[in-house]
Amino acid sequence: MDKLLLITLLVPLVGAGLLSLGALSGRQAVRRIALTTTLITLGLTLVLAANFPHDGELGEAGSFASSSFTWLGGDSGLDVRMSVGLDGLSLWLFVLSALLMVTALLASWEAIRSREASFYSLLLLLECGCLGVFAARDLVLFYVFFEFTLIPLFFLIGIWGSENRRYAAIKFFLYTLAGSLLTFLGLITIVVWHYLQRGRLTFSIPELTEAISSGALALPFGLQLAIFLALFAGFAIKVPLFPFHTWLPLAHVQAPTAGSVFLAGILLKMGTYGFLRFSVPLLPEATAACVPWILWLAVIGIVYGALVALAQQDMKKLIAYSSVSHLGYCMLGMFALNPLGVTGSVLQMINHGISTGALFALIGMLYERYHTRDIKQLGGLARRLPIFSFFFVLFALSSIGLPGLNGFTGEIMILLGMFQRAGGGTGPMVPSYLVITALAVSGVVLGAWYMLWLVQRLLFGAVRTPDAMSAEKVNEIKDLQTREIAALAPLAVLVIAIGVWPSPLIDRVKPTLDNLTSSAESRLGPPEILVRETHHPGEELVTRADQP
Amino acid sequence: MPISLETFALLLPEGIVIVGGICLLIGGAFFGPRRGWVILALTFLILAAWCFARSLSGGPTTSEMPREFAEGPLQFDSITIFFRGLSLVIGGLLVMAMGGQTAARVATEQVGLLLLSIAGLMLAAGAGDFILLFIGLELVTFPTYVIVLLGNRGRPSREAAVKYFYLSIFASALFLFGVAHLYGATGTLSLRPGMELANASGATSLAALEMLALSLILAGVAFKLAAAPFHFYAPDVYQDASNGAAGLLAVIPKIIGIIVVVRILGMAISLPGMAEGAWQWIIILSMVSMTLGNVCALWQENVRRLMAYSSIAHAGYMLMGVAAALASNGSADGMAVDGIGATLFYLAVYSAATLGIFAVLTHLGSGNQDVDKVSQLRGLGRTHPISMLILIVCLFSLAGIPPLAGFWGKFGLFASSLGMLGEGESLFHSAASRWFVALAVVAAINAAIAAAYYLRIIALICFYPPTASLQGKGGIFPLLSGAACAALVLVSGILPGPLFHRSQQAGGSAWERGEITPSEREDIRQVGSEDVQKKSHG
Repeated sequence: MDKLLLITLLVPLVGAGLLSLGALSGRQAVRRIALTTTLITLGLTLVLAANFPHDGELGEAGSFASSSFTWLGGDSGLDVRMSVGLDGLSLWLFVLSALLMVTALLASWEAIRSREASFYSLLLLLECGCLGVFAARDLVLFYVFFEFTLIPLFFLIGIWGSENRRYAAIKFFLYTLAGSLLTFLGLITIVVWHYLQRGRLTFSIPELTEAISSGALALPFGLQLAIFLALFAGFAIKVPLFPFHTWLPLAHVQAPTAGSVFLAGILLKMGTYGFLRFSVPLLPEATAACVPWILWLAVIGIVYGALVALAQQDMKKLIAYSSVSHLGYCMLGMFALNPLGVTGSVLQMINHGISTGALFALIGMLYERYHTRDIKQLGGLARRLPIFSFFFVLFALSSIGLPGLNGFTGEIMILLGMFQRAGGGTGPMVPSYLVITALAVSGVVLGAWYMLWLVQRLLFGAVRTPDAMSAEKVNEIKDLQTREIAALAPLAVLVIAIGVWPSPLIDRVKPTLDNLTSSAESRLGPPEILVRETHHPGEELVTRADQP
Repeated sequence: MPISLETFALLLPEGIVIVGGICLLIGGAFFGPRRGWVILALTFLILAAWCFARSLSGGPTTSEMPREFAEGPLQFDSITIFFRGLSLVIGGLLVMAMGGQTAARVATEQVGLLLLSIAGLMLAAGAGDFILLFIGLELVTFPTYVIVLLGNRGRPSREAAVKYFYLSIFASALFLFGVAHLYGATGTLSLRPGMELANASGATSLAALEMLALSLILAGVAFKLAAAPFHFYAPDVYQDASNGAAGLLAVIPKIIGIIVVVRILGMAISLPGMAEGAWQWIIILSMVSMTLGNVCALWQENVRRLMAYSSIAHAGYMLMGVAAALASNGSADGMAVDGIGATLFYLAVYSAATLGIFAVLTHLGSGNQDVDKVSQLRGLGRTHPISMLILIVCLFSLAGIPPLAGFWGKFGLFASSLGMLGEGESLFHSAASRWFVALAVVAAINAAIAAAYYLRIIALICFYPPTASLQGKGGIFPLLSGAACAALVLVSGILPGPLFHRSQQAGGSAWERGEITPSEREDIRQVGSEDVQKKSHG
């Protein structure tokens, strides 16, 4: 089992290498090799997930299927390790990466008609990078994978994207690179500090986390704040947190379908993953101090993203802005910093990956048929494309958060967590947090609005087809093929399964999350302490009014 | 020092390279340019490398030699080994990149002169005193004047050569002037740390003179590195030189500059008053160089001018490690990654990546028509896929994107700078931590700026349909050289261990040459001051 994780990481690389050979034998071979590789990878990740402890307790090691060997060692004790392992936080994101890659690949089966070998090998490299980010247990290794994902995506957007692809590719790359370089400085600072205080040079993430939570390593508050801001630069751009989201709609819209699916499904999660893996456990005091700021940014993102999504004419852009809104929920739950909120946040990461990934794939399939993403040009598709419409409605409802589907489980936990943070149920309330909670709930309503409106305009009403298409061409358009259904069906099953019975997911996640957030949560304290410390006259009125 | 046959045996690799250079210069005059000359030059280099490798396994080292020799002008330590290896590898790649132009009338002479330059690098790497260091420096520099002049561009080549010649001579003079002052202040030309202090009685009273001397030497070195504010010549000279010659200018002077820095550092650090303020000046030089280089490169249309500004920026990066090393004052405490070691690693990786780019540019041009404009590379990916791959690897490495070697270069530099933090309540508790945090942040922002122009080239190569077809008549050798560079960059990115380890070792011995450790140096310092006191009492 220990070697299995390493093998899983290597499979896509081997596949990418094989593709350069397969290129000689034509298009069909290339696609088959790529598909086989992703299926093997998915199978391996599923084996790993099945063997993961069911209660999520990982014992001493703190990670599952871990293996580790020196990558870059030195006389002075420098020891950068190839160290991989899974824990509750990374497990499902790891599986989701492998799953979405299959969807992405099937969705681009027919759409990509030039330089297929390069396209699919870049996709496989991207998969390797994403799997690596979630599996890495070493700071430098994490960063290497984190940055490496930019290279394949840069080429995927720049070569196979739509009209404005060149600008989008460069903007995406530079924007995220600029932030993540500062993140890198922050991460190294933590390592250096650990070295200065304890005389041991380690890049191991579990060891650093352990040192902080056990109190063996104490970072002064000023330093924590500086490092927090450095990490924030990279992760907030990746999430993207308002107002650092401007690269996202551009990159999403210009990327080819596979790129959009993966960008929305996995790459954005690297930001939230980074916050939860590094910022919260390693910098507990700075995290506690920054909670109000980040909550406000998150809720602004929720409402702003939803409002902008309402105004879109381009389907892809609409979904892209809805991502800004949904990732706002992730951040909100995470920085509510209580078990309910954080667990909800992780669920939301997975759910958003499934539903938004699927929606992007669906839009890609629609684009292959009608060559437009303009909502105005289309209408009444339910009559013409019933299977397509079924999937579209299902994933749209999941994205809205309809009870019984997966979106609901995450969102309700986040909102409840936030309500708890605001003091609900435990006594005195914090007015500003209540406002945030209320605004977040309004975001759900807005979400239903833009999504249902999209469904209505696209699927129902009078049949409309793009002006540019002739009648015969329109008549030739067929509903989803088996391949496309196969791409979407696993995601659809997950949407319902997680909606009905999320506890297998949550059980495996929870112990890890409690470990990661406990020290930051204890720094924040229960809400009433917060009220006593800040002591605003207005807040006292509220507390008095609450007590009869 | 008695000169014996063994002394020459120690210099066998240098000797072989020099003999090779002379053979090519003479032979070229009679037989004209042929592909065979390149192969002959490579043979000489490989022979030298073989001798070098043999000396590594069984040859004598400084510590085993008689004492007179150990104090003489030659020293063999891990710095020598590192730079000899680097010079031979880079030299071989340069020979292939430049020698491919069989069409050029003077290609053979160019390659012969190039071999002399390489020999100069190797000599300087083993220098134990200022005389040999200066001889090495000049042996490197003089052939480069001629190589630039012999470029295939006619008048512009001559213009570049004249510009480079006058400014370079001026820099050498500054360097020599500084050495003279230092000799006046300390009474020795030895580069071995600690030793000169024991000899130099009353060194403290001459601190101002020593500072002046080191400033002059630094100015000379900064010129070689093309670091601000001594960078002005670089864009003009690169633009007017041929692609091959520009590649040489981007690499060889940088290597010799760093050799001089590393060789002088161990001695300089033991001068009184050196440790307090010097590293701040280096930090300023470093920040100005990288910012100026990167920002100016954003607007360049000429590919060599762009690479010139990029090389100015990289000089700034290399100075980061030097500053960290100076500030740490030779103590290994708090230094997770040795600053000099990080600089050496960065230098090696930069050299390979830059050379790869120039080699491909040489390949893409033809005998008398160089690639000039960045826009000529448009759509290269469709017409020249191998060149495209090489350029992508080298450019991403220069931008410092993992998993390429350039990333580990930046990693080492960042780690060595942030290693200077020291413990305190915030990031700003001491002057050192303030300066180095600022340096690291500026460097990180600069890395993002640099990525902008490297990406612009990559986007141009990969995302656009080809417009004008490049000839690609530069021959197969430059392409091989470029491919070897890209392979080096890729392999040492995925397996950085061997190169990183060697450069850290070499960096460490910049302080502890021979048997003298920092604590012993402290003793010597005390003994020296006691001597002074005794003398003043007596």
